[in-house]
Amino acid sequence: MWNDDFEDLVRGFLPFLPDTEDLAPEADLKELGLDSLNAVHLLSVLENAYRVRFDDSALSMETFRTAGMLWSTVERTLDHAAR
Amino acid sequence: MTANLVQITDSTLAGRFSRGLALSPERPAVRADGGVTTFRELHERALLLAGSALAGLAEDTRTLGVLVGKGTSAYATLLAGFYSGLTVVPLQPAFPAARTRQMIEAAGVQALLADDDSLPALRALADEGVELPTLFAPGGHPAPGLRIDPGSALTAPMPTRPHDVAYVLFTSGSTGRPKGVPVTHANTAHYFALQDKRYDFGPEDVFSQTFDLNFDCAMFDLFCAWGAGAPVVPLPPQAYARLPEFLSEHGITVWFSTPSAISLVRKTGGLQEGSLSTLRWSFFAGEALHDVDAADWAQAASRSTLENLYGPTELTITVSAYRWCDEERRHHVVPIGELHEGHDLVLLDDNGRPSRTGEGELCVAGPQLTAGYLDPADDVNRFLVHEGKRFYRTGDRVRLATDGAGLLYLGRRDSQVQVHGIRVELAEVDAAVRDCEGVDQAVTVALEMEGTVELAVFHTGEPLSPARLARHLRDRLPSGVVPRAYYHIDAFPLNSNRKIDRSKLTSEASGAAVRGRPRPRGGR
Repeated sequence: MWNDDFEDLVRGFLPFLPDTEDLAPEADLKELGLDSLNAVHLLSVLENAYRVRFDDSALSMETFRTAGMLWSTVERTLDHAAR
Repeated sequence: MTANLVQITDSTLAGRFSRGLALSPERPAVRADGGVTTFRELHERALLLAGSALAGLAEDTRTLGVLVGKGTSAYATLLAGFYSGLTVVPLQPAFPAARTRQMIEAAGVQALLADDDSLPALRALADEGVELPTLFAPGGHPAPGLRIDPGSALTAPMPTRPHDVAYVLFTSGSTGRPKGVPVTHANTAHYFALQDKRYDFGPEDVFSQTFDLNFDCAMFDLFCAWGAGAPVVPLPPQAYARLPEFLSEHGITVWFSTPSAISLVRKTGGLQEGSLSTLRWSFFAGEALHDVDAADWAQAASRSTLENLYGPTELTITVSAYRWCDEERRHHVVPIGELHEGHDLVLLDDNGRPSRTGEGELCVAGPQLTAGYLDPADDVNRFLVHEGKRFYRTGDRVRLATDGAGLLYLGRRDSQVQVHGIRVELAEVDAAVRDCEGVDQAVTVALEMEGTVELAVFHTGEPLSPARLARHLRDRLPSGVVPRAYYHIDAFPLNSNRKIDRSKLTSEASGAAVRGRPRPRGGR
């Protein structure tokens, strides 16, 4: 499961997710208000926060479909960078 | 000069492509998805698609819908539409199908040309009851499909007359029904002749392509590039996250986007001094351009000339331009500058009479002006005749600058706003929200945030989750204008005239937006 930092960063981009509600890994991020331009901003925020660089294959909008998919992309990129 | 040059006097959009073809036959017309398509390849593809469509259609067909996203297939399909000599109606696959169907009906679209990525949109349109002969560029679309037939390929674009309608685009209407704007070959010919005079584009240039093709600024991207024998590069969304790299990788020299791209690139760290140094030209249109944004962009694109362009669809792409000089930050918003050559203006005061104060509603007459909306009922109060000339009332309030900067944009005189470059009537959004089960009344307000405009909705009736309301609106409105904030209230605040106090709602929504970000988790 992801850490709190990740959830804080992502929540800031989800205007339709009430503060009182949990962010579920399978929740559709578009439904929660993430549009394509904000996804671009979120991408760069995550890259800076984790000091990683997603490779181009990770840059599709599919990566941004759910919080779980986004987190697994971050994890995979971190693993790759650690190797 | 050689006899060859006689051909290049064809001033239609198809003719501009022919000009590029003569200049750069084996050079790229498009660079996308890691590949290139040359002028000759794109030309042949368009001849094939246009010829196949014409061979399969009744002779009295006059209007083609072109359902395309962005990229090589989209450009070939749009160009095929122009090669057919018929009126082209650019349609957006990402739009709600119900909205596209309204446009198809309003424009009398008799057949569709669709690009590689539009299959989901074609299926959604079929579910909406749209049954038109369709040429799906990759082939194989279920009936009523038009066949791609090499034997029917055209040998040259079909001829057109100057007063023929080149394309029809739609703008938001306050009743919730989009208004169709026909633009003739004569309109675009005047526009592009002026662009050729004003700029120095050549085959060495590389153009960004940021606008959706149902937005007329895309015509600038495509036909300024192709007329110069230069390629276009469509921008995938993720390109904005690394714009300096993307621009230098593709050697982009001409940039054109809405001003909201500037704040996005700033947020992703792309606006460092000299970071966009491949650019020779930077253009912005579609929303008010703020001084600070222009200055930051100009510093990053330090070798480019920056211009703010202005113009409603009714006046063909853009009808005024202002060349930015960094030393002068006098107006908060960058001026929209001087009207294009050949155009006249009148400013109207609040009573609809010519203003004597140098401030008022901008009305424009001239060769880029549309003949009128598709539905004449939409013309009411939008046009006026003054000293024998027909003027379009833009609805934009402007002031004549006293320092020679031309026109300054002050705002709208009605409740229309531009959100990410898309014109929308707030009343249209109100109506779409009211449509949602459980909502009683709705009021939409526009908020200016970080150099761009976002919408917020207040509604009465049952409390509904923002996600539910947004889902409802995505089925009815272009996704760019779907509001980002929703507030349930028991009753609307009223002003002293017993009308809904919109300014109070706007300031409440602005306050909430400022408080709401960033939203640390501990702050729950």
